Order: sequence, then C-alpha cells, then structure tokens
Amino acid sequence: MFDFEVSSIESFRNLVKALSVIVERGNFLVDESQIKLVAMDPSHVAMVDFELPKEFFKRYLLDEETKLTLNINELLKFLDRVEKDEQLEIKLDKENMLLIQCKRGGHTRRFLMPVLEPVDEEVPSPNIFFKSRARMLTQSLRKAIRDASLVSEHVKLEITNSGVKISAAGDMGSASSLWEKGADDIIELKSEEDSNATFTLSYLQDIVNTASVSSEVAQLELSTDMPIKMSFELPQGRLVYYLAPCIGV
Amino acid sequence: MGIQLGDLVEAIRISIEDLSGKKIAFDGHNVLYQFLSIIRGRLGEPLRDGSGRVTSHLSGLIYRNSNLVEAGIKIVYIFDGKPHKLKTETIESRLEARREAQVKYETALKEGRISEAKTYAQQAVSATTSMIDDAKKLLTLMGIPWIQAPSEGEAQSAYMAQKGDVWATASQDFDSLLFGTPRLVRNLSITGRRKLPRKNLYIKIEPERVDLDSTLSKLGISREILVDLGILIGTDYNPEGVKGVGPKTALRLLKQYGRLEEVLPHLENAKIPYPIDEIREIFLKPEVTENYKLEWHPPDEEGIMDFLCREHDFDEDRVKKAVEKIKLGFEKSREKTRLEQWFNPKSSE
Repeated sequence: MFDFEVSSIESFRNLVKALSVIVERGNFLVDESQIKLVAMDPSHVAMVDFELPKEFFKRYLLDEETKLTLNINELLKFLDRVEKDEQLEIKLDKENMLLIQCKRGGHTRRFLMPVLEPVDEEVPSPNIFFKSRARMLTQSLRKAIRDASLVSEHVKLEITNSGVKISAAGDMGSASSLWEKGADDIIELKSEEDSNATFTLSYLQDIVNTASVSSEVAQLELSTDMPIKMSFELPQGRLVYYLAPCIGV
Repeated sequence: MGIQLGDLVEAIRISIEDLSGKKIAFDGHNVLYQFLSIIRGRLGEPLRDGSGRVTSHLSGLIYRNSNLVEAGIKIVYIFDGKPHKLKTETIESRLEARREAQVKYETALKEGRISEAKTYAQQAVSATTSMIDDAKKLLTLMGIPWIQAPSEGEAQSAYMAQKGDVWATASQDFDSLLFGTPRLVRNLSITGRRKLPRKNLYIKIEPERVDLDSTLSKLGISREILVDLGILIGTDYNPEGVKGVGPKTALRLLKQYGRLEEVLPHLENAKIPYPIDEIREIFLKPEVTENYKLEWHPPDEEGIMDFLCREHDFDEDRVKKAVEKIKLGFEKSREKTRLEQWFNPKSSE
C-alpha cells in the first residue's frame, strides 16, 4: 500500500505522457526512495528507463516495496481530468485498486482504476559503448525532427567533432538541420569517431515531442548503426530512451 | 564434403521465424552446390534456359532467398576466393569424381536406370565461374550484399560472426565451426524434405543451429583440439584423415592424449600428408578481409525481370511473386531492428 501526494500535476502528467508513447502496460517498481520503470515497446524497437525520486512528491508514504502494473493510457485519461489547482493524491488501496483523488475547496473527485496482473517481462540491460555525445536544447531537437517529418519516414542523425546534423530525404524532397560546433543550441559536443544512424521517424518524434515538455536539455549518445541513447534532463528524476536504428535504409 | 562432425555436435532445431531480423552469412559455394544438385528435372538433369544454360542455381537463389528475406532474415553471401594450396588435391579429386559421375549418369540414362541416373547427376554437379558470376549479379539485383573472401568463404564468415557483424554462418559443412563461427545454421537453403540417396524415402529437413561454445563444452575440448580432431578424421586439406579413425575415436584419443602430436604415435600407419601446424593455421589463423560493407538495398524489380525472365526464360508471374516477397522482407527487416540485437539479453538468445 502507498499514499502519495503530487506537488506538480503538470510535470507528473507530462512524464506519464512521455512514458505512454513507449509503454502500454507499465510494470512500475515502487520502493522507499523512488518509482522506477524500465520497459520496451511491444515491438522492442524502443526502451524507456524512468525514475522519479520521492523528493518529487509532497507526500511519499509506502509500507513496502511494491510492483505496480498499470495500463498507462488509462492512467493518463484520468490524469488528464485533474485540474492544475487541484490537490492530487494517488493511493493503492487494500483491494488492489489505484485511487486517484483530486481535492479543491471542499470538493473531492475520486477515480479508481484496476491494477493489472504483473507480467514478468525480461528487459535486457543496455550495454553499449557510444562514440559520440551531444548535449543540446530539447526544443531545437524537436524542431529539427519536425522538419524531417515533412519529407520522410526515416531520419538520420549524425554527430561528429564538427557538429550535429539531422537530416531526411524522400520522394517529396529533403530537409536538414546542421549545428556547427559552438552553435548556440549545442551545450556540449564530443565525438571519438564520426557517428551516424537512421531511425524510424514516428518513434523519434513521439519520444522527443512528449519529453520536450518536461526537459529543456537532451543528451544524445550515438555510434554508427547502433541504438541511440537519449537522456532528457529533468529537475528531478531520470528519463532515458533507447531507440534501435534502421539499417540498410 | 567438409568434415564429418554430425555425430558429435548437438543441433538445436529452430524455425525460420527465429532468425527474423538476424544477419546470416551464407557460404556461397556451398549453397550454390546445393541448389545445383537439388533443383533438378525429372531425369535428374539441371534446369536450363532456352539457350541451354544451366539455371538451377539462379532458381534457388531467387525463390529460396525470397522466402528467407520475406521472413525478415538479412542475408549476406560469402564467396570463396583462392583456395589454399593444400586444398588442390581435394579439388582435383572432386573434379575427377565429377567427371566419372557424369559418364555414369549418361550411361545410366541411356540404359533407362533413371533413379541411378539421378544420383549420378547430383554427383556430377559443378559450379563454373560464369554460374558464380551470374549468382553475384542476381544477388546484387536482389539487394543482397555479397562479399568476395580472399581465401575460404567459411573463414571469412566465421570472422564476421566473431566480430558480431553477422549473427551466424549458414552452411551445411561443419568446417565453419573449425573456422570459429560462434553459430552455425544448417538446412536453411533447402526446404521441406529431402530424398535419401538410393532410397525411395524422404526425410523432413528443418533448420537447425549448432553453437560452437556449447559444442566445445559438451565435448570438453578447446577449439584448437576440435581442429586437431578435424585433422584426424579428415578435412578438405587432408581428406583422408587417419584411416580407421572416426569422430568418436578421434575425440576419445584426443581427450586421452591431448594434442594431435601425442595421439599419432599411438596409431598404426598414421600419416598426415602435410605439416600439422600448416593445416592448423588454415583454421585458426585464416586469411580474411576487413574490407567489406554490409548494405541491404531494395530489390531492382526491372533488373531482376530482365535478367531472369528475358535472359534466362524464367516464368514472369513466379519471379514477380518472389520480388514482392523480397520487397516485403526488406521493409520488414529494416523496420524490425530490435534493441536486443545490441543489448545483453538476460535470457539466452
């Protein structure tokens, strides 16, 4: 059983939304210091590694470590009904139902949703050595990917010592964004070896769009034709995605 | 051909779907020989086009590969380069055997002994340079990469598999294990059922996988000793091996005495025609190239239709269907790159 009070409804909802683009049925692990979720999307193309520390919450009461399996889209539907100035409490009751309770000025709304049977999904542990790394503004990344979406289903990311390039080409033309080393939007750039890989645009776009609401700075780690690691920096917690490349595009 | 290890290794039955999304290096010559010997007409004769050119290998390449590509397998073909000088003897005796088989085939056919004729026909198979060139041309049109090995193709694919550039080697020969491929997939380029030679019996052929590490640990030997074992029972470089020593005896002897040098004195008439170290080196330090690129492309439909239907009289509808499968598979394998390929899976693959 647990009892949490969320201090920032907006950020909480945005984070859940960022998880929902990858995970349908989320196996959360709730322990004394944090909420954790590591999960892959059903086609195993993308993976999210998420942590939210107890400091994020105004109240974080837990009697024992709990595995909590939820339909994330259903959770999001309820969270969407919560208004900004409401007090949000999330509790697990004895009947194993999740209670979402919103309070304002003596008015209480309660939503109950079922906790699902946990599925024992083996999630592999990432073990990749990346040759290139760039920290950049999440908004710039988002815009470049939006540009690419005009012309193709695939987008190519390149990181070299001289800059970062996001490009796409298709029958309808091509689009590219190039940041030189030292560009305003690039905070850090390091490349041991020129790296590039191509990704399915729909995944990348969903991830970056939803994460960009919560995170101002994203760190991209890349090696040629390997999965990309995208760490979206949060005021508190961890939001990291891995996305498998398309090879032979 | 190749070393007779079948009795010692443990093959795991797999399905083609298990290989979806995986890169597999095919031993080009091995596969072409299979196509040339299996894909045959009613009298055991190879398929030919209107001008009399053999097309069995092309038929196998397009139809069989299209099924594998459709299943999402990323195929790469590796072709043999210059054979090692120690192999010349084997190659010559193979050529001789083929010439003999050809004569026997023609005689049997003349005398109306059809089933015998078919057997001889299969033995008479040979792959000519122009067949190999045709095969490479067709693969390129199909968008399937192929690599020219400097020497043994199996050594090249073992090297690529060790590096992780491909997941496994596909070959019927166990030699690949001696060359160090971590995984060997067999029965991938042939389908369904195979007729047992000289019998009216068919056996069901299903793909199977042999893992080098688990084979070695089951046998309780190192790869070096596996190579010694190969030399004892005969490889392409010393086809005779040591007379009277089969796989099981060889294993027992090696486990008892250690290296090959220590085993030989205990055998009567044991002679290895070439320096042992030289044969070992072929397997353990083979000549390979790092200079290769693995890129898959969408099939060139027009090119394939031109080459197969207009040049070699293939049936248009059938080829079109195959091209469709390749297109589907290309899309599928490109979208279906899974993260596990790069991650350390907790469960074994």
